Amino acid sequence: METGMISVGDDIVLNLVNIESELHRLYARESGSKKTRASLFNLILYTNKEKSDAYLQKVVNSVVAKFPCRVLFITEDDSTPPTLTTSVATQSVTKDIFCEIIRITLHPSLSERVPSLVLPHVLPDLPIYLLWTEDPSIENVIFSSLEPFANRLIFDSEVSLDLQAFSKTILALKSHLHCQVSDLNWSAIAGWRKIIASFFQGKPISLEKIETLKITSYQSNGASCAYLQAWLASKLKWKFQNIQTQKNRTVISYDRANVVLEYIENPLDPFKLPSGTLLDVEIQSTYQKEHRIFKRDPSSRQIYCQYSNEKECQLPTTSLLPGALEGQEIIEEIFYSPLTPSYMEMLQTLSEIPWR
Amino acid sequence: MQDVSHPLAETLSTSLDEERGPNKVLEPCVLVIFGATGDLTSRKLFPALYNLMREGQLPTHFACIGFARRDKNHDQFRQEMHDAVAKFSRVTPIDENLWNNFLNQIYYHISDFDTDSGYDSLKTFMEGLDKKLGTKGNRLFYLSTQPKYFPEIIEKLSKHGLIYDETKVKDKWSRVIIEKPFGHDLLSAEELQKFVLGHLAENQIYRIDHYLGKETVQNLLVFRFANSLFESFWNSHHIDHVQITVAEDIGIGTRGAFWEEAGMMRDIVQNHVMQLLSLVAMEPPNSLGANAIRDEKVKVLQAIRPIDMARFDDFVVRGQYGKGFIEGQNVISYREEKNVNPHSTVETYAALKLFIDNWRWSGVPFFLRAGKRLAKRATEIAVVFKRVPGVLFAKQSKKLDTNVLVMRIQPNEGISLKINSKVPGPQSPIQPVKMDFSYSSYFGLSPPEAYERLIWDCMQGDGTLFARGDEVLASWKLITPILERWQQEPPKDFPNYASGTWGPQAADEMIAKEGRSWKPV
Repeated sequence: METGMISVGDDIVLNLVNIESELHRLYARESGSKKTRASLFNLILYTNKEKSDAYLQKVVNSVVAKFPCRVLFITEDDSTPPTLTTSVATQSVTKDIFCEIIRITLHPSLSERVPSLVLPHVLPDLPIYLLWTEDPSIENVIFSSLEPFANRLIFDSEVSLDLQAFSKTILALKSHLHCQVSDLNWSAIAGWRKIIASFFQGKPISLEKIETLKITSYQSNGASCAYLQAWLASKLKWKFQNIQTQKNRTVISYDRANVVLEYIENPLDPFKLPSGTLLDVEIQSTYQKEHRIFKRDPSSRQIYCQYSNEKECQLPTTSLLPGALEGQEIIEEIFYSPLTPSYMEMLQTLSEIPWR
Repeated sequence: MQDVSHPLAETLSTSLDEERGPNKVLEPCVLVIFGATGDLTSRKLFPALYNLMREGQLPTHFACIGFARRDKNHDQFRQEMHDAVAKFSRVTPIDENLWNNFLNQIYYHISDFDTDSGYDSLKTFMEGLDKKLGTKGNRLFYLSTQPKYFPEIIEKLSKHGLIYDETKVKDKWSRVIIEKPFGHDLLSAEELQKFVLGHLAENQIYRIDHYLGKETVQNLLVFRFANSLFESFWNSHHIDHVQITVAEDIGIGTRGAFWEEAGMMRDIVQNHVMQLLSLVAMEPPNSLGANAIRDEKVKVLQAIRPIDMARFDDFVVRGQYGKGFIEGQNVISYREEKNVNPHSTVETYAALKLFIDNWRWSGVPFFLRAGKRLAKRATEIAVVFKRVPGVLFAKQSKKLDTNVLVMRIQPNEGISLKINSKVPGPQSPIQPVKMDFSYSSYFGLSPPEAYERLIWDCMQGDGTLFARGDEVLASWKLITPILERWQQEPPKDFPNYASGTWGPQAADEMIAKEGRSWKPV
């Protein structure tokens, strides 16, 4: 096939490299430097937002550092003329190991060409993970072409404009998908779930009598805090009643508890926290007027945990929160853990709440 | 004349005998290529001869004559072949010094295939070369023509004494290389076989299937029979099924007229795919002799269960490519290709499910597929092993991947084995990983092209890598009923797969009925 700049009519320009030749060339180059090519799986990422591109590159760096893989990075960009560009590069994992990244950048009008560029270049016999950062409830020809080949679909609810629709879509998808499903935000709050669960271990009455849950997060549309509260609500079988949304604050009323979600916008962000980072969780229970505060230190991944009740006030303790999208545990959660019933129950709860 | 009284005579003759033995210096010969102005000669045959010459693998006393109708002289032909070699040789640039020595061994002979005078003059010319170059009357005729000319050419060669009755002529040899297809169905193959045997002995006939010349295909025998590890589980107790894929991302190109007569089943499945199948499934031969190996291959073909015509669609799928995208670029449909009937019902894709009814393979399905304009170019054999009992590791992984041994014929030649491994960490997830052997990583050198090996073998008189008559007929016996059924029932849904995909939906359904799926290639 032709390579280079190819005009195919209607002002469409294809800027193509011979991907296979490039892979061979780069392999020969790196092998000459005594490097080994490694790949545990194929990671296909899709985004249609420039902002997500940088975020996804960070995801790729985190993943590749732990698990070398062949990356196929698809970016749809409707701000450009109708072009499609391919390129191939290597990414060093360690000084001795590298893997490959194939990039495809295109105007949405050319998306039907993408499968013919992706599928021939996935490494056979290795799992294919498709990280879809767009709303899966929106029809997309690339998704429908690649999904049948994926061993695992990874979604990011952060990008969804409608969490209710998103959760309904995932619930519906899960029933007929042949492959596993992961959710980046569910993985991102894994640490919080573990910390909260550990502090309520052996205290079922205290749990049952929770009356107020307040979660504070940094910016975002609140996907992480929505997940966390829905998780607790589903575990405690709270019944949704109503939701009130104000600027930077959402109040959800359940039959046995109220949930307050607050969002802080801090233009002076010395710590460069990613949007959606959970900052505080406060839980009040009617049992002995227990009050628990979990407060994240924004400069680190430490959580200060403060407990008090009607009779006493304990000294704070510290727990370490695994970093979102960092660390072997998080990567394992995304790529290996099967979806638990907890996630599905959480989605069910989320699907009943008319988020906007 | 040898001086037998000389004290060193025996030693001298012994050392010379070693040099004249197999795999050493080849016997002199003249190679005549019929259809020398065709594509095969320039793209494959002459580059092969050049590389053989370059590596010292051609006989010292050798000549090559191009036989064709077009009007040209020796020098013109030599220049054309020079340009072809410069373009198509696996090793470039062409070594002009070597070529300048070689071109004196290249000649061109103008004649139609059916003209007696042409063969008379050829004979005279070749006898002249025997005297001039010492080629000793050994003859190799390569029929690089359309199959319809085979009988004519062979008859003329025989009539004009250019091929010898080896029961009577002992001091020189003659061999004929025939390109595929050998017949276009069982009846025509039988007729051609009968005709050819009327003029040649079976051991003088070299039916080329260039797949057999590929290093990776030859390695199938070495892999299976030079490693004790694999033989014990190469059977129905351990193997769940076998998939053989011959996928091309290119279309039919300029071969529209040929393809309208042939189709995928005749052009690829009947020969290349069945060769791969027989090498994977054969029993160990009792020697590496040509007949010992070919005997075992024939046994496999004869053991294949004929297609159940009452359940035809469960066993056979055909397809024709429509338009689509290859590597991001638009491509046209088969019916829009040049010299193709816009309503053509010729298949560009075929998939089969076969069973070999013998002790080794009883109950193991063999899934074969071949197609044009598929998602990528790849030829491979995948041996898929049975699942482990689901007793252990259920917690770590809902469904463990099966082990798969893949022999990549082309490209990225090599062998890989997929196994399951524990991912480091306390949670113990299990991840499939690949152990991989790549030819290019280990051997580095550009391996010989298939035609180099095949021509060299033919000069040696080694027919191992050529199809024997009964092999070809056994293959046609299986394939012909399929072709007849297709002829009787033209397809109504062509084109039924888009270019750049993996073929028609029906092929996925065929394998899914057996509870399996096509392995990504």
